[in-house]
Amino acid sequence: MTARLARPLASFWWSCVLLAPCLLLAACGSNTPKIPPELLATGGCNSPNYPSGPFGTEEGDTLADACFQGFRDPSKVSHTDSSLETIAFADYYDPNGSKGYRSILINTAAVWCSACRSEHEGLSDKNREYGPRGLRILSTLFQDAHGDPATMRDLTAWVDTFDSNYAMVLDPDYQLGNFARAETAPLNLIVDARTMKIEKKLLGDQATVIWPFIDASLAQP
Amino acid sequence: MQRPAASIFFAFPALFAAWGCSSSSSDAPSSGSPMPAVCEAPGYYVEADSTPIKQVTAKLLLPSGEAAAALPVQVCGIDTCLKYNANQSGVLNVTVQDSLVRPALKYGDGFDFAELAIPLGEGTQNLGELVALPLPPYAEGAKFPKSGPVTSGDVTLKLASNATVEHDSLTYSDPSELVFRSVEVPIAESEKALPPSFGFELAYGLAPLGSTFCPAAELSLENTLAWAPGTEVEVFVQGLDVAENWAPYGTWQPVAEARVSSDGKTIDTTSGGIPILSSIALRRNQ
Repeated sequence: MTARLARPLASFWWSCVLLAPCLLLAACGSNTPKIPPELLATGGCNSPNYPSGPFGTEEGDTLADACFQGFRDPSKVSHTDSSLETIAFADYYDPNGSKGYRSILINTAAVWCSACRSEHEGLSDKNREYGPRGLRILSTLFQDAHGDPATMRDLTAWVDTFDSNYAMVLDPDYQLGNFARAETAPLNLIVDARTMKIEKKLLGDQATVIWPFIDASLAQP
Repeated sequence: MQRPAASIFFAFPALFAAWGCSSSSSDAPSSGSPMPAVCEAPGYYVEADSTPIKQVTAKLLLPSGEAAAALPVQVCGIDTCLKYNANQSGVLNVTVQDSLVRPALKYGDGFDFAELAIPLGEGTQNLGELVALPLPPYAEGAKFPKSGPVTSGDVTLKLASNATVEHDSLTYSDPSELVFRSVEVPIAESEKALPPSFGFELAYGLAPLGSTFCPAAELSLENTLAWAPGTEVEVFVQGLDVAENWAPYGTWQPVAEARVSSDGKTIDTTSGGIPILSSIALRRNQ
């Protein structure tokens, strides 16, 4: 819990100190700091270049930014607290194609969800196949086997089990709850990295829909 | 009637796989530890259309007849899973309003209760009363040896000397949960999960779910129904995992043949074995 909260809190405090002394007095001066609502709405992220709203949760809407703690590429780091980094949807925003990103597959997963586990058994191979063509995959682990918020232990076991080579993050607060109820998993969003607009929203591991759609998206100029 | 037929269709590759992964003594080195066996899961995935489900209702009871309050339940297809809990009165009444591929209701979760699956049809499903089966406490579970027997209640698994045991440590994150536990399933009160068309006479819920054995573990059961010595028996496992590596999801897969011992005390596998911990069921050969 401490490791999970440490970085976002550190970022928040630095923002208070460097950018908004008045805000520090107002929001940080009590024993129960209040995070400004505009930051809460984006998961505590602050990416100035991210598309402005309005944001939404349906196809055609712009995806609000959100930040998570996790492993950007678990195949390249030790699966320990020291390898955790803050990963935001904004990291994959690529308006002019300079990063080489064309589409983002955002996926939710829970340990209790055997359909999620089945989906992840093939996701590393898909990442190897589609990554060079401009797809980035980010999966958020939100609950453990009992339906409780996922922990670092769950994240580590997950990436170990599935040999994950794509961004795998913790979402214990279930920030994607506006897209699908927590009792339903997985959720798959296909997002245009150039605009951060949601191109496809699917409940379930609908491989026969997802991958042809991504194929078509990546083929577009 | 279709499901039993399909299962019989799958029986031969499953038994072949169970036999095929068993290594004979001649495979082992002449000294030191035997080579670990290598097994390949048969795999049972088949394409299927989704089934629209409106609502699922059931009343979940303990064997005592009391409500199984807050029992974990899933409506889970091979594509999407929905997680619920029965209410404090044991009532499950959920509006699904979704289409799932080969959906099943899974009740119990392999922690405090054995898990069983009931395939779901289209529309509104009223499953009536279901008996949830508490597993023994972890403290009463048996640790898995590297090889040899491990017993819980009436059920003994025998691991080969070259056995590889893989546990689902993603689900069972605490090593103390990785102990063998079994509970008998009352067949007459579990007809939705054990359809009478299969002709099962004896069943057990096992844990930890998803543990795999290579080669498949031999099975020995107390002959609690006093079947005659020499009686030939078929052993099935239920597919609880949507990955369907070892059994088709939601239904029963024959994995072994067994026979009642000459002294009539036990039922012991004679070919095949248990490749994965799940719920198991037995019927006498007809």
